[in-house]
Amino acid sequence: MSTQSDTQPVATTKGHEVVRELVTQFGAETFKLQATCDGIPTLWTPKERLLEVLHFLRHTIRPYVMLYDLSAIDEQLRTKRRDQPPADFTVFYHLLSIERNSDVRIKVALSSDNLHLPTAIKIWPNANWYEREIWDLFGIEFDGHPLLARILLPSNWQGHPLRKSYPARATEFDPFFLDAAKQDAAQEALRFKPEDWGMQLGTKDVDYMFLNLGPNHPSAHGAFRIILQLDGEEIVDCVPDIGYHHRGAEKMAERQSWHSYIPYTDRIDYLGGVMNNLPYVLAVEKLAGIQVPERVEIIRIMMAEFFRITSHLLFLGTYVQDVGGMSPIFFMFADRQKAYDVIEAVTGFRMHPAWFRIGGIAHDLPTGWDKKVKEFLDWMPKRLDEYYKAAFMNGILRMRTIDVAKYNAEQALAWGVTGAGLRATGIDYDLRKQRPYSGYERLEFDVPLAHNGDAYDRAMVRFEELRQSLRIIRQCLDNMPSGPYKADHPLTCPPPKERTLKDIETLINHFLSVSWGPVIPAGESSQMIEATKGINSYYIISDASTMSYRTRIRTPSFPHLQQIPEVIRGSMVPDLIAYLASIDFVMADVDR
Amino acid sequence: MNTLTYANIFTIGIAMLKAIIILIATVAGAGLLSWIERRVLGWWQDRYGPNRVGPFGIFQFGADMIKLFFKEDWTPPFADVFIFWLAPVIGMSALLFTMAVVPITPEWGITDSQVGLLFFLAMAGVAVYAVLFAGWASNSKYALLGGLRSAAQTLSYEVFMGIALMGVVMLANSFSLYTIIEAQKDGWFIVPQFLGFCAFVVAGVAVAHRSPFDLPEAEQELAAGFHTEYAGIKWAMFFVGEYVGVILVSALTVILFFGGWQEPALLGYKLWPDFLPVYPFIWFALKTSIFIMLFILIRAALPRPRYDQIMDAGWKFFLPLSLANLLITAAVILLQQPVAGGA
Amino acid sequence: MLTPDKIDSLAQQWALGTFIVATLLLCAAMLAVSYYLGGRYQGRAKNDPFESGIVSVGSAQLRLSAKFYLIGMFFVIFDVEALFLYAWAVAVREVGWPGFIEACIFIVVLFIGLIYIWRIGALAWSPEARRNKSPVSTNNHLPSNHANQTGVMS
Repeated sequence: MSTQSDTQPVATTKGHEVVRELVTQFGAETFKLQATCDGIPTLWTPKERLLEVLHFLRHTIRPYVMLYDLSAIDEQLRTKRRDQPPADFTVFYHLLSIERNSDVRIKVALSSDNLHLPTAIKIWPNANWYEREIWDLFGIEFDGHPLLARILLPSNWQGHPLRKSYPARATEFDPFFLDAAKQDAAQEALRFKPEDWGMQLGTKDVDYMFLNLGPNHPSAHGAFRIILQLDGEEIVDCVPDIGYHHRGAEKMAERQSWHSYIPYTDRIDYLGGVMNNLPYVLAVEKLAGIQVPERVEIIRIMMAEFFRITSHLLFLGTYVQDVGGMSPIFFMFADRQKAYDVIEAVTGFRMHPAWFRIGGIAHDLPTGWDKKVKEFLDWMPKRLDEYYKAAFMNGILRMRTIDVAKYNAEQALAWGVTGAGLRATGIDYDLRKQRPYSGYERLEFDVPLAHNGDAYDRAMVRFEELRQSLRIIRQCLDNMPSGPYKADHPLTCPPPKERTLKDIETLINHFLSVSWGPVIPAGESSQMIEATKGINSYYIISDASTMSYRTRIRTPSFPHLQQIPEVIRGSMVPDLIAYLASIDFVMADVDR
Repeated sequence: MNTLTYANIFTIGIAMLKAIIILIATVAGAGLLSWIERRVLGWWQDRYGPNRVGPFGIFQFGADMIKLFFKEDWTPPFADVFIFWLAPVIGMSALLFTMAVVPITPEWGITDSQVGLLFFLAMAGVAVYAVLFAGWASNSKYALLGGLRSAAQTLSYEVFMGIALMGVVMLANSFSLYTIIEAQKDGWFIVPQFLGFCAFVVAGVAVAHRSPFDLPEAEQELAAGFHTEYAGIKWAMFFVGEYVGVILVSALTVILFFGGWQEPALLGYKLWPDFLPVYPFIWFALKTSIFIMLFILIRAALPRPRYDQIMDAGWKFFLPLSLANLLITAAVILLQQPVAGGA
Repeated sequence: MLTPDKIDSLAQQWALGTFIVATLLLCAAMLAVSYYLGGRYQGRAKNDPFESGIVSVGSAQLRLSAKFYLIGMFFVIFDVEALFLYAWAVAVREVGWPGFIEACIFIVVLFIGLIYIWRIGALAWSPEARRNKSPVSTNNHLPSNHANQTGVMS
């Protein structure tokens, strides 16, 4: 794939439907079409016409309703850009249309001396946080943004870390010491200033209480902070504040070999285990042109679905617990342990196996795996029926969650909500069905839907998904294909070892591939998957090196949290807790 | 006139000794209950609970108390010191005082007050101050929200708790808990006062701040609610107070609706043959334990309603229900009375 | 000489007094013992109120929405009036049917009061927004695979 020319003029390409529409609307000379490995039409658009183009795509027939992702690339050290337009920085808008079931990627080139773009908040409200993230990490300014403040890093941070000029290793900095003064400065930087957010301190008769809920709070589900403006117990307004779990996963990707980055992906959605490996290895495989054997695909699906089960069980347990029911979580933890027993038997680890490999999996299924899987499949359904009766039919739980934190399909799409949160509003959009990957097209399952879009429905959709996951695993168990567990491809990592002791060429190749890591051909690729919490994707740029040039991780939880204020205004504190529980997020997935 | 014989002084001394024993037993029982609750919850939730200290972990409470005594006795500098210290004292003692009017057996009980039931209602009212004071004196936002919730919830539930109990008072024609027990010789009040019983149990759970009415300290919402800023023994006193509340409300339920120390009797029929021995204390303890277990079971089983739902239930359902119960009870009594008088 | 009844009541009074004093002494003793046994430690942020680990904005002693005072007032109204019912409860047999009718009238008045405060919305504890919130939007039951066609931002 990398041998093809990366950029072609629009006029000479027949192109995609959306490309034709755009060309008809704005003229062929406006765009430059770039070829990518993922098949998403990628168009370079001049900065001046950006808003027009975005607006058109948002309001065209069968519109691109969702701003799926928005981020940037520092192009300054990239050597193999081919005939892409010159740029120091690139900002890309990844748009998704539910009706077309297809995407388009709009790219804008920026030069270092003028890092300004108009904001897209008026078109998609969830551009807000993405633009703040770009400002935070790249230092690109968005004109017209209401409050372009840092979002992942503390407000007193210096520099923009995802720029190539920003060092990536601790050894490149002076040693860090946290003295009292620094501690105070950091604390002070966290103090909330209502005026900055245009919030009133009170009315004539009432003082509003500004309450920090989190980062250290039992129901914040990790280090998540949400500042509440309260009138009594009523939430007048709120400001979610993230970044407490930021580890710079995208920056780390630029300093790890393609292979050694896999364990980092496990920890993005730390409840998702190998499910996190999947979009990454699929994207890299696309770039490398690796076709994995069928057995690998089915094993991957099976293990990913196991993690969907453990993640959903934890979700359901904490969900019931957050509305005050203390018992179910203990039972669900017991179930999760049983699932982890299977996972451990297969992968050797429990929570973070990092078990998928570029071009395969780490090792083949162990002897007797089918017995363990079967035990779990026999155990789980009875328990689910019990949970349904004991917890989800409970009158108080229903009272607490039905019609609470409700949003409709329109709002969900506008805020970039994916996964169960979207399907609870009645939209049938599950990537495993809509855009089958890794062999999901060969499996039978239903996509559970709900129509009310409230906290209860979100839980019920996930509850049903548990049953569907069991169904998928049962099919994997019954129809496990035979064959190798690794693709026979030079870029498979680690490469097959059998022949290395027979000829020197293979040995050298193996040695380089294991020590330096494989060199993935230059190009761009991405893969979206239906992860535990919504759509997760990796957008990967290779500059023909042993390391990724840029790895963009789009996680579902990030936009879900951004939506909170719109949904929860005018509700009460306990509703917020039920809402947070129903979102199903982990902060590692938000902050990366 | 004022001369007391040694025998009299001995009688008084014995009464005082009994009072001390009841106090110690109640507090120890509350402590033990914390262990029992954790064990029972563990049993219901497929886990062990504390099982390390002593046989079955029974000395866990002792170990916890020793730890708590040695913890720093911290008073926040931003708090209102006097009220901050007063709150746990009220929290522990208000409901404990009520034990003074609780008849355990005909012989064991501190005082047979003519207004025993009113004394309980009064003390339940005083107990609100513990949470309210704690919430306010802490000068911390979570504590304040917890205190407010508590004040609103307890005030609302006390209104109908008193009215719900008036049916019992009518039937027994007295506020004295001894008289109320005696009046159930031939039939427990659970049958004629079923509505009152329902309302009282709900209100009792609310007054004891037990789940699902534990909004003031709703962990998932308010971190620790009113006792957010409390630590060490002062926190433990709230804790003991909560368990005293559980014991007390269970005991009162038994006394008011289930015949107290008496053997079972329903609707004029004795269900316990006369030739079997009668152990008043065992009956009382058994029945009370059942309700204590019910408290724990409720905690294990139910989610927590929202504040407005609790308030709605109190004002819009239980208050009218209690008033209706009162009128129906009075009407039935009066309908039966002429017949009884004429006979 | 004192009659056995008098002695009994005297014994009860002493027992009650002992109980109350002993309870208070127990509380005091617990506080005192812990005060002397407990350690003393210093920490940089120890003296900040708990607010999830973030420095607080504004005081915790603020003017709250009147809803909380309403409850206090209703309590006074209804609980004080309930006291009259307490008195009636122990006298129900003596005052007979006339008393019942009077109590009925009293309870009806109380009830009307309750219905009145209910009607004017004083018993509506949930926030205004929830009460007025009709289903977020009526067209939220979109068929599968059919997204909205209208813009979200106006």
